[in-house]
Amino acid sequence: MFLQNLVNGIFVGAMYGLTASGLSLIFGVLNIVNFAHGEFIMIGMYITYFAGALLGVNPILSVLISVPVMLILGVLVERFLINRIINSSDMAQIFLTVGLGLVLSNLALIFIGGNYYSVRVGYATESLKLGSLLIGKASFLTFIVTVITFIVVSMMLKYTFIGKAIRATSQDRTTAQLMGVNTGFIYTVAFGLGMVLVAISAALLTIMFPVYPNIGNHFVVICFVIVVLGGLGSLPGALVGGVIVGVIEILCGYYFSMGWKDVVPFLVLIICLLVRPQGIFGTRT
Amino acid sequence: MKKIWLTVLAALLAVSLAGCGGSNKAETTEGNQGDGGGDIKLGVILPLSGNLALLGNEIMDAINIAADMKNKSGGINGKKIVTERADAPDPNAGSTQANRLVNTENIKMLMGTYSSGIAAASVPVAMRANATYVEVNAVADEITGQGYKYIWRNVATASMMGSNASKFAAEYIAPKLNLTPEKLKVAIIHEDSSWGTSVSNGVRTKAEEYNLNIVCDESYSSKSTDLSPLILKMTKAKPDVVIASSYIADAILLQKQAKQFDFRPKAWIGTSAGHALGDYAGSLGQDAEGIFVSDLPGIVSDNGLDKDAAQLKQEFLTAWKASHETVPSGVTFGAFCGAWTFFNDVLPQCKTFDAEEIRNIYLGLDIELGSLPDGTGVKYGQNGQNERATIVVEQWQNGALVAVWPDNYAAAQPASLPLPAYK
Repeated sequence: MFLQNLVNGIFVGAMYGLTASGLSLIFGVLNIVNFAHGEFIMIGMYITYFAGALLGVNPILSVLISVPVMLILGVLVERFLINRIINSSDMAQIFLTVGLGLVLSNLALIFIGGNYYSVRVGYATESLKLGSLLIGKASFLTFIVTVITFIVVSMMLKYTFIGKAIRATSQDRTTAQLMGVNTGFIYTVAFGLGMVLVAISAALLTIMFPVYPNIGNHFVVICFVIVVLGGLGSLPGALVGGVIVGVIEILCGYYFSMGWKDVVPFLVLIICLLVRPQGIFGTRT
Repeated sequence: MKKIWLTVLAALLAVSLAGCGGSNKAETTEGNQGDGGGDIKLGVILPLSGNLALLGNEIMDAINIAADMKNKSGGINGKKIVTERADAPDPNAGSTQANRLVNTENIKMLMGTYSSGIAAASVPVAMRANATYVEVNAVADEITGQGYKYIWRNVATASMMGSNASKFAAEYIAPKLNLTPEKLKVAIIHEDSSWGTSVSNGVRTKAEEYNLNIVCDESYSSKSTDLSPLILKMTKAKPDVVIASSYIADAILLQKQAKQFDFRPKAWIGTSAGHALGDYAGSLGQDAEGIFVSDLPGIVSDNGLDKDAAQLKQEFLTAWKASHETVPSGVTFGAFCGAWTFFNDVLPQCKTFDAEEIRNIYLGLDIELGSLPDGTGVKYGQNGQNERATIVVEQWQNGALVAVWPDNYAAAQPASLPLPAYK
């Protein structure tokens, strides 16, 4: 059972990592904590659901629709809302993103309703058998997509011009500006890229979870834990933080009780903040 | 600036004094009670937005249908019932809305609340203002266990819901599986809020009375994003029956992960909430078939109803179907029956509409089981709990939730026992 739980923990952690990656990227570049992250996940999940219900699109292929839609949404939100408070106080940034989240969830409630919608695909409940190990097809698929996504985004950040500009802005906004980087444009690109990551994770979450206006609440707290644990703004940190939290959760849930499953990740976070406040991959400022 | 502050302070003082001066009589408009004119206002506190809005709005609709039906038949001695909606998506809002209704709007008859957590916040506010509070849904035992004088709950308690699940396992499932109750292995799992804990206490207490063999007893957060450790624990414990108290997202996740790990007990009994919602079956399709639900009675067989109750049930269903695509759940029926009893059996006897008068009327009611559309009757204890509230066992059959136990309420026979292997 230990191996089964370990594998489950790694898969769950990968899902957490992908879900938190958009939040981490946006913080790293724009230095804004996006409290509407859960509601953006909700929107991504609705797009996946409706793509399946109305057009018969498989959740995985629905990213062909949800990625451009979320990208455009991200660009618009950054241009018309985030951009206006980018240099304001933390309080203004918190109020804006919290308020935006409330508006989005209540708009969903008004226009779509409070029903719980699910996509029904066979592989959501099917497993692969490897000896005595049972590996959920949906979990395995999520793991593979997560790894590919992280590799692609990391390569883009490392080797493309825009990626280098994003990293430069993330490391030192003023110097990047002095070097000719249009940081305003980079903020928009980074927010849009964050939304693309949200769209991909939302499509995968829809395989297992029903979507309703407050579904984001299920994920947003754990996303914050992961981002802080891994290091604010660090993409590898989000993945490693996610896997650490996932494995701890699953092992505690099985060997102690399900109650401990929700407590221990926070204990680990507190210890991490005491020992290494910048997180595993973060840099001290 | 000083003038503005003084004006604001004076206004606040005036508002607070006006609030203190309210009487404990129910508000009517355009005329005095008993003269045949005016409206009777009822404040309805429900989560109409937020997480619980789906059922909150359905309950609001059921109460409005009851009010419309009563108004069409002449109202309350000529007065029309008017409902004042108060959206309370969480306990804080519940307390605020109750305060607004009883102290600002001076409405001294309230109804609600669906969520036990919201009821726990709004009921004390109403009680402090000597207002009547008719609770038509919230099931936490504590609501009628605080010694309040003016709370009236028509539906069963959470522990009754849980104990009924254990009773069904011991009295029906065990014999069908050729097992004695002592040999029947049971897993008790529940989400860890006040509701899930109350229900599981009822499950556990009754299971111990019947000497059921409890092989797994676990709580979990309804916001869990992975329940595989719980499924693996149950796989190891090999229960014959799982009794689960879950909200909907976790109920769906439990079934999906149970299938992923090929965990299939012989019977699965949910206790209301998530397992009883149409979206549960809609999300799971074939995998929901055969799942039992210990719940407030929904559409029960007419065999368990008297003639008037059967007719009232049809009238309610007709009105419901005119505006809804789904069939009403037990929660919705509970709301309708609680509201109908209040409008039809309590208010027509009122002269002053104050809480003490309503208390005396409620305590005097003696309506036999089967006299209401959900098969319940009315006989209130001093604590305000309806002692003729009933719990039934329903089962998902062909995509619909049908009453299957006990026999007098059963609209169909229990099927899929033991549950077939996953396809």
